[in-house]
Amino acid sequence: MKRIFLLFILISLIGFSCTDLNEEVFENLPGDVYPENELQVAGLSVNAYLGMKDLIDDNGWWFLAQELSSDEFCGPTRDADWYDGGKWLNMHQHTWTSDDEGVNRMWDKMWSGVTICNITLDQLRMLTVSDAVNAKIDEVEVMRSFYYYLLIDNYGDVPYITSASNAPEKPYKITREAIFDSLTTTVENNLSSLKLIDNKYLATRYMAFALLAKLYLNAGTYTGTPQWAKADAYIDSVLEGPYKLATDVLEPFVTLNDNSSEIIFSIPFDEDTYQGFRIHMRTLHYQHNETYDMPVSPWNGLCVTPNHFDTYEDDDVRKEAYFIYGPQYTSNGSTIIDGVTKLPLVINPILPALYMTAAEYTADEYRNSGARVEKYEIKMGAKENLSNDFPIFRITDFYLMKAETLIRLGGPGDGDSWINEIRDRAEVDTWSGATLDQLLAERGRELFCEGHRRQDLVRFGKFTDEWWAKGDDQGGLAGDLSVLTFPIPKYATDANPNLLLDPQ
Amino acid sequence: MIKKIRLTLIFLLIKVFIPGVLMAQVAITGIITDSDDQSTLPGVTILEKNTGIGAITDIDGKYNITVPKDAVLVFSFVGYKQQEIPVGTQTVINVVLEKQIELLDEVIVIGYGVQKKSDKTGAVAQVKAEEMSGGVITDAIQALQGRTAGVLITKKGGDPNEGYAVRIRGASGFDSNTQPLYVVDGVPGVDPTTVAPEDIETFNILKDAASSAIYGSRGSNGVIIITTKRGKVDNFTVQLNMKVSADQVASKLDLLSASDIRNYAQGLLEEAQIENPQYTIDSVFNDGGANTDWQDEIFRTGITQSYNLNFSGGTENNSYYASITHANWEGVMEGTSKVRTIAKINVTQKGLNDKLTLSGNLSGTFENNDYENYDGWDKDDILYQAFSRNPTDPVYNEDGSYYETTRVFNYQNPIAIINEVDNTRDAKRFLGNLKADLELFDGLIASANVGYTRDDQESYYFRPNGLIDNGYGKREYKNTTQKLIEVTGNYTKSINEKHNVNALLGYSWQESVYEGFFAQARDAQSEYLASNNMQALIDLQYGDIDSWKGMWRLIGFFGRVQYNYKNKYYLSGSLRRDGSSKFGANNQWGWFPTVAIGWDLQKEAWWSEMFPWFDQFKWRASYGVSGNQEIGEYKSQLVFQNAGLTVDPETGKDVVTFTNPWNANPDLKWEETTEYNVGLDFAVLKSRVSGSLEVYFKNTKDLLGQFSVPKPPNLSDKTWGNSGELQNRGIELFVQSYVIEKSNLKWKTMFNISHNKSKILDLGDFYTEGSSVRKEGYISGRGMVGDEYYVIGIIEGEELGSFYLPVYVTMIDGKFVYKSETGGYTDNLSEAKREIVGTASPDLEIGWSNTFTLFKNWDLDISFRSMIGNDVYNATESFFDNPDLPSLNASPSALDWEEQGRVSGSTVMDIYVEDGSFVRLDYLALGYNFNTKKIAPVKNLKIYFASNNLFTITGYSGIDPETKIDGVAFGIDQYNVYPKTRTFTFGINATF
Repeated sequence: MKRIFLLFILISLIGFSCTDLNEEVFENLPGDVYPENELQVAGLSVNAYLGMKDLIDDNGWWFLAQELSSDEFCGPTRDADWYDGGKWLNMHQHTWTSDDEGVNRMWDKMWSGVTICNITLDQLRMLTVSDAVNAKIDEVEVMRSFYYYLLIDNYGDVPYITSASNAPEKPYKITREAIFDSLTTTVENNLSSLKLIDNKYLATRYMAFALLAKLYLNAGTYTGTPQWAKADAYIDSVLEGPYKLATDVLEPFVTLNDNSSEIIFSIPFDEDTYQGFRIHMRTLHYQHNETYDMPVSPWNGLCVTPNHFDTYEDDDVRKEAYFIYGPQYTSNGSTIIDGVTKLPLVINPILPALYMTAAEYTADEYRNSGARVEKYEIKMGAKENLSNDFPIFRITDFYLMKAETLIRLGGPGDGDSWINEIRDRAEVDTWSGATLDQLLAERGRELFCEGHRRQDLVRFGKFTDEWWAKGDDQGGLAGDLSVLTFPIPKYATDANPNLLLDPQ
Repeated sequence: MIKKIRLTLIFLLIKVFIPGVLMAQVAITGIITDSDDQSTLPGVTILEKNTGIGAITDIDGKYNITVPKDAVLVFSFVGYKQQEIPVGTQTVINVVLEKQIELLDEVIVIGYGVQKKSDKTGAVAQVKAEEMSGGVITDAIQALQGRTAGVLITKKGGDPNEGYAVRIRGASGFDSNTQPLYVVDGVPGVDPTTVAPEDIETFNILKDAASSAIYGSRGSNGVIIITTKRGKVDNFTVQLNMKVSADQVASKLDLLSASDIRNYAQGLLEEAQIENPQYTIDSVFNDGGANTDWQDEIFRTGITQSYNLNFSGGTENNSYYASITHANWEGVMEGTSKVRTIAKINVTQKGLNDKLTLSGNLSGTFENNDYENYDGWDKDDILYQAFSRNPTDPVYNEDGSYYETTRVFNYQNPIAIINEVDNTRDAKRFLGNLKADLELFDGLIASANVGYTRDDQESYYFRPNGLIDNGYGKREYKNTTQKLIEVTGNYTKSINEKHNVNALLGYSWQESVYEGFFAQARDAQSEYLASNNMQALIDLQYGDIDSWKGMWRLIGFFGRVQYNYKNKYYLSGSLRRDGSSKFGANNQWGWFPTVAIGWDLQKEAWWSEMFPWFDQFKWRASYGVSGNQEIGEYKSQLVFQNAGLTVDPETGKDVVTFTNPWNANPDLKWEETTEYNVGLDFAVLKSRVSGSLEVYFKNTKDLLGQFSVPKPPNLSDKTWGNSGELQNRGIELFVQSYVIEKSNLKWKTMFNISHNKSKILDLGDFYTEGSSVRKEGYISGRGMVGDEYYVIGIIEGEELGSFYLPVYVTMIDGKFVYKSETGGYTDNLSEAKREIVGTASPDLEIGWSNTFTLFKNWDLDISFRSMIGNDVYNATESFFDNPDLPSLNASPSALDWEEQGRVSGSTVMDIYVEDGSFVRLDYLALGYNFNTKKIAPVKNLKIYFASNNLFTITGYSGIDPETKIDGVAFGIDQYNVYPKTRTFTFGINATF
């Protein structure tokens, strides 16, 4: 019996000395360790900008949704390719549902942006108070306001949450107007601590001016009451900054556009380290890799709508600069032979339809039609991701915004001088007595594929018009005002039914 | 027994002290007969005890042997009781051998102990070496396929590099691994592929929770205990097993030929010429000019060789078993192979007057794999490229270079990929364990077991510049170290031969640490240097170098008491307290209790009088709770993970940022399975027929997994938690019978059949965002990208593995029309109403194996395996019936669709669900045992021919109806089925 007892003691001893179940973390930073140094604290505000890189391609859809839902750009079905469950067609024909990829992902990534700002703010507020930390807080609040600006622009009424740790579990929507007020107040209050410098990747005071200008320009959309004078004032503040028109229309879009004189605020991209800009992969023909000596073959998809292509005069330098059409050549100048038609590859800007199958269209039609986009330089040897920074705010836009506020506050012709600087550079005739409609058309031409078109069409009351391959017997919706904002995704309302209630 | 040993000792002493030469030699003759029918027995081994001197009876059952007078002759024959007879003064020794069907005395291995089979109270099944499947065995677990009821062992296709999925009684989880726990020679958590099938003595499978819960935390998916061979006292044996096999593709995919494609193009031309008379064939079709069967190009006859050499032996105090096994499996797809060498040694030493037993086990496994990709539809996916590639395209240009052309996006010559891409792995695994058993006093054995396993893997990848891009190379190294310390005390006591008690108390500590790193780069400058010198790759980006490290730890305290009264009434119970580092601070520890009872009616006089022909009739019932902790590490903690490089806008410099991939969950806990099992063990007709019947009911709750939560207020939109409930119910029958026991014909048959039904009781938080079901089994491919292309729906109240699909009605204007949500019809997939149209889980699993011995020297093994009622989603057909002619190849049905004017592309719908029921002749072997009398040192010599998968009877139209049944999404054939093989083997087994 003694020995049993001894054995029992032995087992117990070993047992109690070895009950340590501490889970040692090696490859990640445990929550109580992070942030561990000054560099990581400084790096905290970096996260606030991080979310922007998802906005351009199909991770976050913002850019795709702004362009594809407008009259200037589309993603046609090319037989077996690019149907993808209808997500490209729905965007162009305004037939999206609350469960479309674009609707879902845009919501997700915009909220990711807001949430990461709030997490960052919570963390910053736990640090010892100092001017540097306060300035960081102000900066991150402006970035959060930027994400909210995208949210109310695209979804209308949404919740407004300003802390991650104190957020309600199932928040309610509040009105677009109330959020608009909060945003303008926040940004205006924070202006003084923002740096008055030209830094295209930072929420500088110029970036804040630009954001305020955009908010007030669209005040009519957001609140029902236009505020043209306030918009005009902030546009002036931007125009007073160190930004000027470049001589070359493509200068802001080259691969190395970090120092562009036109860019106020941009999303940095790098083909290797900061990926997320793939417009060339989506638009170029399968065999355009031969033109640009690309290591990967592009996907032959998105293209310019034929009606938008036609709005450019033949002399307009932007037509040649922005688009790819006509016969295509390899990098050494020989003709590209299309892999299926076995004929020389000629890109025809006349896109016959938005939905093309092999049964109804020839291979040449469904593969090779629709002008492609090279507004963003595709450098020789371009990889799957571009290194070109994506301009969010660019001075040309503010020239045309200035023209718009002048016309709206005065009348046709009041914006001529600002418009004509743009037209001059494009080597087309200058105007006198330019109207709002002319201005909108010029915005379309100049700011093509920069993510402004949907917002512009909404502000000008033309978003629900019929256009190429949308409305009437062409399929899709026209005249339905519900499409002015996207629906809150079903997955979000399922998780939080409060989002279905009227705003508080 | 003690007497026998004493006798042996006396003989030994005599032998030592009186030199053999002095002993008179006598010539002995005799006839050996069978006790049942008095027939003579040829092939009986007669050995002089403790020597290598022996003889074998001839065809008439006669033998002669010359031995010293003091010798003891040992008469042994498979299936008969061994007899020992001292020679003494005899010169004629005739022996009558009795048949031996020892079923009831067989010993089974349960967790931390052994038990007489007749005493078991849980659902434990045993498969012995001679009952395993043979032929080409790529992993030891394959030898178990079809041999036990309720253990579903499946593998998709015939890739030697593909592993098996084992599902015991329908175990399944959302994000938790549900493979059973393997215990090899007492070490839990060993990879069973490191054990050579030739070295295995028995498999013991613990199926019910009451049996498996002694392994607490990891028991809920069942436990497979592998016991390897050990040396036997006084029996020095050398064994050589060799075999060589030819593997053929059992079934190819039915596709169009070059002439079919040309005919089709001709038709197109004639149509086009109506409007464009100037057209020629070149206007509509680019003929590559060849007749290539791409499947023939990528497939081959694979040659597999396997060698196993082992020797074993022992004395009263020590024994050893050492083996080396080398096998080389050449896959039937060009470029795929596996080479594995396993070296192993088991030693046992007794000491302290037999009170101490030390045993050690050391094994090393060295494996080289050569891989090809074939899972998707990328440029380097061999199967997709071969199936879809135009048969008019030649393999090579006239100058011998690869023929490449761009018919469509992602179009690549698969032979170029096979030949030019290097994709290999080199794995080394070591297992060592040392065990000491000390008998403290009569009945109490204290044991300590220390184990160490180390797993090292190196991967190598290289793709040259210009093949599909500018080249790519990658090297990866990783290792896992596992340590085990277990201490147990085991007490056995029998009081008056009435009360039999066994009690166990134990402690277990196990820790695993893994780490690794890789480097990769693009733009390869040298094909010669390849990835051997990665400085020859130029394009290196942030993230191309990475490393990782993690750990988990498991600690358990357990106890078990087994009691029986006169081997008639049984009661046993166990309890385990287990802790896992993977769980949240609030729930790291869990309790796992079991209780079981048994009643052997045969031991009751009233019953045995009524049913004297029964040898056993034992009822048993059990209840147990077991757990599952097989998820990744750190899921309960808030951790910040590297989120990649970004530019600090203020400084313009690169900085690394961090995000939290999931939220902290201090409540994260065990997935818990409660199981009730009722079983009947029976034996009749002198145990010639015996078997077990099991009925079980199993409930798994708090399923582990990752689900979505709203991001504000949570820091992350993902949380790891416990949610949902799953139920498995089933019935299993196993019967074995010695049907014929004649001297010229013996037939042993084993049959098992089982039925399991898995039902989702509660989906918990695991529904797909924005849906009331969980969508699984997404199909991806050309034209099929999006949220609609899922085929499996996991739905509350429904069976697991249900195909949940739009229902095809008809075709209008070439478009598929489905039933719609609103009760009408639609051609829009996203508006289509989905219905459950089948299930991937089989209704019945059946295994039937037979061993015949003919004319004493011939053995015939025949094993069938079958699954009934399992549906397969044939996504391959849904891709290849989509007319993309004449650019890409297609299945013959594409022509029919084309004729009907189909314009709809590939889709998901009910018509692609097919019945995958099959009956497979898994194993057929005919062997001949030579009479070894004249080839002196050879004790046994057998040659055999065998075939695996000689035929499969199925109505399924794809390559193979068997899919890997694992997790929650299975039963999908998506142009990634490596062909099953039909193999022919020639083998030799020799024992010296």
